[in-house]
Amino acid sequence: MMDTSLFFQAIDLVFTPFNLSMIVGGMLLGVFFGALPGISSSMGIVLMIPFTYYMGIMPSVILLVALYAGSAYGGSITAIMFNTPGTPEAVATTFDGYPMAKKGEAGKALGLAMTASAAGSIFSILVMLMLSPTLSKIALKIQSAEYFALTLLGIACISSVGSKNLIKALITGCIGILIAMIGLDPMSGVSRLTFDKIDLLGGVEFIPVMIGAFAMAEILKQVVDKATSEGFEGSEKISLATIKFKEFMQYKWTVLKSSIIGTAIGILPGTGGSIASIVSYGEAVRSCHNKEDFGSGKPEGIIAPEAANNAAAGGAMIPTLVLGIPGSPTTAIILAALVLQGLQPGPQLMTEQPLMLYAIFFSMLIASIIVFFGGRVAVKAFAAVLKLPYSILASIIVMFSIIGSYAIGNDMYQVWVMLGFGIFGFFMKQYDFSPATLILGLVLGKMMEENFRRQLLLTNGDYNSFVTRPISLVILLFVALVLFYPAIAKLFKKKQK
Amino acid sequence: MGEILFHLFIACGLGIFYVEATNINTTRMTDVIGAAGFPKAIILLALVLTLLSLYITFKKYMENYDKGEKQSVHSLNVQFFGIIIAVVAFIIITSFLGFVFSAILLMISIMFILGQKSIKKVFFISLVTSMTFTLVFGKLLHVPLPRGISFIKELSFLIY
Repeated sequence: MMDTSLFFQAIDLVFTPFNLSMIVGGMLLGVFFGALPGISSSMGIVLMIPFTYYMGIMPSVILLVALYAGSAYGGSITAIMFNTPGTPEAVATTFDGYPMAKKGEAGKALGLAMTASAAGSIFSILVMLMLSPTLSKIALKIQSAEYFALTLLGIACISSVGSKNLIKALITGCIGILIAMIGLDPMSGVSRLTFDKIDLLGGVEFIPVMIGAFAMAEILKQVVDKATSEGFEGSEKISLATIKFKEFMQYKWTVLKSSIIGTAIGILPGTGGSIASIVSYGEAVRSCHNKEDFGSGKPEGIIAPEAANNAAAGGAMIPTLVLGIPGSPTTAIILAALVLQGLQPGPQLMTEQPLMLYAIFFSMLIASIIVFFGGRVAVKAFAAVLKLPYSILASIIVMFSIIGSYAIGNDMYQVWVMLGFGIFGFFMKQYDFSPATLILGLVLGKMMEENFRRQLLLTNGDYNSFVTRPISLVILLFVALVLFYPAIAKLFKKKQK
Repeated sequence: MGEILFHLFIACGLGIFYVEATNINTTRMTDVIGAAGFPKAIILLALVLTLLSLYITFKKYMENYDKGEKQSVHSLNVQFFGIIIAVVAFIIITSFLGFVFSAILLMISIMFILGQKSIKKVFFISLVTSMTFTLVFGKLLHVPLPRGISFIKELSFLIY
């Protein structure tokens, strides 16, 4: 449980003008990096590390964790505005965020995302402050079989609730997993599915695929649709009005539920916000009476994934700091930055430098509170962009897509990948295949395969071990329920008639 | 019909990947399923699902065909191909003209393709946006943007 004297000492430590300016600066930079597709939060942190050489341990750690907290919100901005998730965690936000922006309510969509993000983040940090020692013990019980089951759950949820056609969504999910396997086999080091191309030896980066399948495909789709309908002039209907706090409170249970899901999944090392946001979106759909409204700009469809992925970002700091196991590429970089500063994240951090741990959590808490109150000003500025004529907006998005892809490997090969998946994504959209499952398959594919094979290695090829472990069995049963429930429910309804 | 062709395209792609998966070297594997096991299983699962989806789509197509219903399909237009050609041209010319000039040309062409008529607006926005992208990514974030050749390369050092 939380040590209150340490907590007050941490407040004392963080509340200096310089540290507070680091929190505000880090949070703003995080929002900026998170919003730019291709310039991820991990890249933002890497770019900031050289500046931290000249600071003390505390300000530099504060800067990095505030940047991390801000980027978790930033990813939703382009997801809502341009149907281009800035980070994989924001994929589920596109399902209802973009349709709401398209209806002319971009301000409201961004306001919902921002408030839900801040609420999810604050919730998870409070949980971290109070329960980090206990939760870290539970997280250690999760092993390969459970991780494999969790990745399956992520793909099952997105196929079942985030798409119009389950079979087509599963096909694209499989294609995503297949693309994730291109490159060197993580266990034996042999090259796989590379077609003897050197460029493919390092695997396929998911950012260009994501930018292509979402942003480029959306441009191509809009170009085809708009040419036959309203044309390419700007929309005058866009409202910059954001959401009032009182209005937001009617979704308090969605926020709370999603925050709990996000924090619980975030605590598991190696999972992170992608699964959390999808599972939370699925739960929001499942528990809603008007399921058919999802996908057309329903507020809960924005709140659920945003609260969950931000809560997961907070939750992911527990394994990073308390166990020394990073939950995502970004937390891995934070871990490296802490080691650079002479800290040793792991079980001994809790016993040897507990004040540092509390100061880190407290900095993230302040950054989230700033997002909660200060983000409203930024929302209006971002939403105003949608008033531009589509010819200008499209050319800017194409530039973003190109530079976002190029920046990943600093070569034009990534831009070719982006363009290829842009065209593929266009046809996927045309024929109701789900680009979101493609991305989730790509993001989770490696983790799924590694844990599946590791579990078989540990149990001498015993396939039953996936169902004999209780936690794994429960998750797998949930996967079956998510996949087959709609068909079974339909069958029952037919029989009743 | 387009949907059926897209299914066939996916099925062919999966077939090609399966052939490639059979070439994976599995002689020194230590684990149960080896490096090729998981990809092969995923490809087969995807293939089965694709064929099932193809069957459903074909059935629906034939039902509609028998009823004499025409499916509403958005035809690909000039703008669609124009944008793809513009991006392809950008990728090719950027190593000669450098990032700034290629970006300006790309933005001008996309705006014209999408029907922006005001020439002043097109040139002004292209110039400002391209310069902003160059300065933010090239200068601020230290992304090594292409510099082009000859005097264009020399010029680029003045900007980023």
